[in-house]
Amino acid sequence: MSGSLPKVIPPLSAPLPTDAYQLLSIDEKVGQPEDALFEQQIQDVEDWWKTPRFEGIKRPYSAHDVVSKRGSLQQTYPSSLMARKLFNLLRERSAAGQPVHTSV
Amino acid sequence: MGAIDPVQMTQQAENQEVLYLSGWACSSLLTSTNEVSADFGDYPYNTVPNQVQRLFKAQQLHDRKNWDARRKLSADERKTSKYIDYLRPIIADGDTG
Repeated sequence: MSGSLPKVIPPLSAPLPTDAYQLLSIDEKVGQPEDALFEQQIQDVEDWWKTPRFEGIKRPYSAHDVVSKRGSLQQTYPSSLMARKLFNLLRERSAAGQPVHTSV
Repeated sequence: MGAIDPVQMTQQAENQEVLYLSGWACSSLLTSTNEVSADFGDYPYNTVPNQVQRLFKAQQLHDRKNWDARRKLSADERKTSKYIDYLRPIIADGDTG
């Protein structure tokens, strides 16, 4: 695999913290592992929000609010990748003072 | 055997390690044509996959609720509180009779 393409920052897909957690037995999940998973995700969300992509964004909710509602199974969403593609296109055109047309 | 709908799934999750979905029961109760098709094979081929999707979405909902409820407990309470895993692997039996 060639590593010549630049990395996507912030990343869209990566090994998810919940992958390994999900495969533990119930006894192995209870207590410290579920707490560690929760804290890890909060840190990941806060790091993600600090990236330049979200500069200037104000959120009336905390990473704790978000992660507590996620459940124990994370997913990667193709729509997130497409949203990033659109964001990049709009930002690029905005910088050039150009429009993006939705029809001919 | 197994569960036909999300309500049964929630009751079984605590003690049943896998979630078995009977194709025969789906062909009897859940066809979009409303035909009772058990053993006759004349129902849409997405009958079982459709129900799997419903069950999985329900499993995810209950997993999210469980996770949220556990985060409201203290760390000590979590250690002793029974953990119900709603995300039991689904065995979808497509053989409908």
